[in-house]
Amino acid sequence: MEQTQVSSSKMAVILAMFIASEFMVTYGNVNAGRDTWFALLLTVLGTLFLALLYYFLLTIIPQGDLFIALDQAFGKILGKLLIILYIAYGLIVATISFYQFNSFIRILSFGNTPYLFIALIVLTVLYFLLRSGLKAIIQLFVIIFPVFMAMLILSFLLLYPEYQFSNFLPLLKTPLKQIVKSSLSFGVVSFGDAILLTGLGVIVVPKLTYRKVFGRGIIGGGLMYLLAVLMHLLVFDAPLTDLLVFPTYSAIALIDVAQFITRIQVLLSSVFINAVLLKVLIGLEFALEGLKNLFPKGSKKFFYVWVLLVILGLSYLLFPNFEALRIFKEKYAWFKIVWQVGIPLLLLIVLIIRKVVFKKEFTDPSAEGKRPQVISR
Amino acid sequence: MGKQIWKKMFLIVFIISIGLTMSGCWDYQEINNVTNVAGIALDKGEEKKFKLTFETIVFKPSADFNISVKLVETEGDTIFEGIRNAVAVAGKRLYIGHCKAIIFSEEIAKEGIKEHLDFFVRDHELRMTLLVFVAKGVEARETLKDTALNHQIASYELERLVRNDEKYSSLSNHKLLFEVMREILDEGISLTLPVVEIKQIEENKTFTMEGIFYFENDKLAGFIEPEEIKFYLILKGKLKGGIINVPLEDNPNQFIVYEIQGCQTDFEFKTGNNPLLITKVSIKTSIGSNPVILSRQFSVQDYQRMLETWLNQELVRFFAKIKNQVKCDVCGFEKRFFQKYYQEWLKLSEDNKDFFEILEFQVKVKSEVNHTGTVKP
Repeated sequence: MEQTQVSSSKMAVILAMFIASEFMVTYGNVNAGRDTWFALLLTVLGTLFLALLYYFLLTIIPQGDLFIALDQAFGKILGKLLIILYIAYGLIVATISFYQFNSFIRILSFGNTPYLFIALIVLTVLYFLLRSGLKAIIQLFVIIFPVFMAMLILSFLLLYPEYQFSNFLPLLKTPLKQIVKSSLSFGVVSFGDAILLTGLGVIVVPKLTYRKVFGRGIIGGGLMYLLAVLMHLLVFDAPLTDLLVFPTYSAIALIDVAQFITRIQVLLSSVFINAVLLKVLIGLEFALEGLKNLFPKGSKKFFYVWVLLVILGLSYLLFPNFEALRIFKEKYAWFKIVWQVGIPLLLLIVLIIRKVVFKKEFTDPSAEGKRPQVISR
Repeated sequence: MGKQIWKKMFLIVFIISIGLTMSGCWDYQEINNVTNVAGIALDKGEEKKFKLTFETIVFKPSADFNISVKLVETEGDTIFEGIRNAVAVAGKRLYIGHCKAIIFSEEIAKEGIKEHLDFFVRDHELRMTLLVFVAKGVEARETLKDTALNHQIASYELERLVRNDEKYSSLSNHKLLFEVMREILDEGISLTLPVVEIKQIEENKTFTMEGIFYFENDKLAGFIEPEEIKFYLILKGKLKGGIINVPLEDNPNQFIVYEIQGCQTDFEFKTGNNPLLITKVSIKTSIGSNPVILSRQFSVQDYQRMLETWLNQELVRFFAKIKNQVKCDVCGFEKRFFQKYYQEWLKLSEDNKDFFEILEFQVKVKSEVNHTGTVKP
């Protein structure tokens, strides 16, 4: 069968949408008030540096991805343990987004429908999407992306009559500590999850193009996020934005062009919420890739069902209600730094030491049937 | 791209659309099983804390658009309880998604409205574009009772009145729910809300929206007359339309009528011991009528000069009134100062100086008469 080609620009689109997915819902411990936009810009800048780390990790093993690097750097026992940790990470990221997706639908549209029913419907959709394969998922979301962008820009423009540009002022007067903390929160909740792209079971060759993937994806996603943050600030001002759980939804609900284009928030949010679904899928694909590394001969269908049931169970276990999710994102999301920065940094150091000091050659992962699918740019 | 992928993508889109549209069966509501609410009036209750009056729309089976309007009254210790108690009266659940207006009674507003607004912001059915009013001199419920002159539904007529007032009369200043919340939460501005009053016109009674109530710490504190609303709007930078009657210098009982075609207000502060606000008003008008039409004694420059002199005096007088009598920063001068001169504002706060008390005021009006209608000046 002819292989579908996935270009680096498509991967960048996926990364951008993946990063921007959080703007529909409350975005963690962000309390930089009027300077939230600045905290976000700092995050974009910081993530670009972080992406360099991911880029080096991907390029250091010619045919490898994150899981192969873990395996080769830390050996069988520790390597496998870290792979398990990353599988758990992928599943937690997927669970958070899965719960967000379901709760968004439930709180705003289907208040009386039991959570389980909505969750099962979404799980069915996810199962078929996973079965279609990563390339089909990428293709689908690449098609959705222009609509997503157009709707976001349109929302931004249509809300112009409600904007109060003085809401920016006083400029940069929020204490630096609050700005940095908010920036870090943006990072751990959203941008840092870009690490999931390093273990999706597909690698773009030549690997040099990952610079474009990360660069375009992070800047593109950051710009989309920025549009949403500006929209909240200009319409609601900082104190009211801080009160709202779904600030983007509340903002787009105000669109009223001569009483003709009005009440389009359901239409717009149904487009925006697709990005959250993408994040669930990327989290799941990442976990599945980890599982394939642990059990190269395992049944794919079994893995699909297993990961889906795990995120369903985790969503019940971790989030008995929506408030629990909000608190989780605000107070406990910091643990993700270990996966986003800590382990990758340690991994890079170990790989460099092994390569430079011990002159160790890394084995070809294809020999063990673990080689990720290679796609050309 | 292969046929297989397209097939899969079609299946995915199909499943998503089925999933999202069919999962609402728990929330399914027939239109004849819910009662649409157009407006809500809140008064003090007799047995419980609140008396709520809902203006409901009843759809009648007919080939034409046939509706009737009924008032449903309930009591509750909370607003939410009152809404749910309405089922006992109306026999159906009240749907408040199409509600256009909330009218508070003066009594309730005097006790503070912040806590009551919480429900309206929190409930996902309601929109933040809801209009908020306070009834003057009558119970709030009276404003919905047989008051619509041109439309069957009083709340919808109220909404239309608001839109037209802004363009043509400027006798009040309407507020949407999110604007009310913004003013309550923001520092350096006191909340104002438009007034609804009952007027008897021959045999019919109807409502008018003239003047505004101002609030101190979310509690109703006083009234600003309709004649002064234009000055209030100028000092808020929000004047869009309406007319201005300028008395003739030699005969104050006769007026030159200017129709406002646009107005821009710029604010500039000079810092010193006491902050000085320099307000620059640029107003565009046309001549609506002139009692000395046949004498042709005025040139366009005269018209401009007369308007500038009069408006200058009135704005200085109005500022003195809000500073000395109203004693609430209804125009948000402190907010503007805080936004532009944050350090100076901080210093004043540290010195425990009341900004509004020490604020000095200057105004410069520049008028432009675009045309004098179909009659020469």
